[in-house]
Amino acid sequence: MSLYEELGGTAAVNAAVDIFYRRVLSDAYVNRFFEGVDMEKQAGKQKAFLTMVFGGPNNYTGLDMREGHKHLVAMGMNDSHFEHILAHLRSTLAELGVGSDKIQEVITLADSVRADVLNK
Amino acid sequence: MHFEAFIYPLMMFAVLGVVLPVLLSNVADAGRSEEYVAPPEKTLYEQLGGTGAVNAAVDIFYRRVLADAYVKPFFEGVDMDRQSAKQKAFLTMVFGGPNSYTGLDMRQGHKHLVDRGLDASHFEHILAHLRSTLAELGLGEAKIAEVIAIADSVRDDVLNV
Repeated sequence: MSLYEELGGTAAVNAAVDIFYRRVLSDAYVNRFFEGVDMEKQAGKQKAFLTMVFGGPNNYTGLDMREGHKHLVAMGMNDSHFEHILAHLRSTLAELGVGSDKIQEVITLADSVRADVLNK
Repeated sequence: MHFEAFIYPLMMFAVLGVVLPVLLSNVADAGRSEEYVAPPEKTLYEQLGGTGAVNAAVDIFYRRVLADAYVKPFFEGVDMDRQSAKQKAFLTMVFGGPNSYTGLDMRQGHKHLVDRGLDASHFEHILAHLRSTLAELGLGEAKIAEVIAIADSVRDDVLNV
C-alpha cells in the first residue's frame, strides 16, 4: 500500500497542503518568497507534488521545476530556504501522525528536486 | 630672604605654566598622529538590544519549537523554565554577548535524546526555528547566517557523533 493510500488519498493530501502552507506562511525566513503568489494556484501545484511523493496516482513531471523557481533563486533563495521547506513538510507529516520512517521516505523524494528548484 | 622665598616658587609656576601645556600638547599631537583606529564593531548582542532581545528570541523560538510535531516529542517532560534559561545562555553566546557558556555538558545533556532517535534532521529543524525567529525579529540574512554558523558548531556534540 502506498503512503498515499495509507494516509487516506486525496483528503490526506489536501489536509497536508493546508497544514504545510499555514506553516510556511508563518515562517518569516521564507514567506517573502510567496509574496504576490496566488496561493490557490500554488496549493494546486503542491497537491500534485505531494501526491507524487506519497506515491499516489499522478502525472507530475516536474519539468518546469527549474524554470518556475528561477526568479526565487534571483531573489536569494538557497539551500537554507529549501531546508525550511523540507522541515515544514516533516512537521506537517508528523502532525498528521506519519511515522519517522515514512517521513524519511517522503523527504528523500522531495529532496530529489532540490537541484532543479535551486537551479544548480 | 623673604623676596627670594617668594620669587622662586613664582618662577617655577611660570615656567611650568608655559612649558607643561606645550609638552602635553606635543604628547597629545603625537597621540593624534597615530593611525586612526575605528571603534570596535558592536556585537550582534548589542545591536539586537542585549538581554531583552535574547529573552524575546527565546520566547519566539520555543513557541515555534513546541508547535512543531516533528521535534516536540524531545521536549516532553522537560522543565521549560530551566530549558529557556539554558537557551538564553546559549543564544547570548552565539550573539557574541557576555557569557560564561562552556558547552561542556552539551554532549552529555543530549545523549538521552540521541538514544531516543535525535538525528541531523531534528537538528535542522532547530536551526530552521532559530532562522525563523531571527527573521521575525527583523534580522537580515547575512547576520542570520553568522548566528547559524555559530549555532551549527555544536552539532556534533548535540548529536554525539
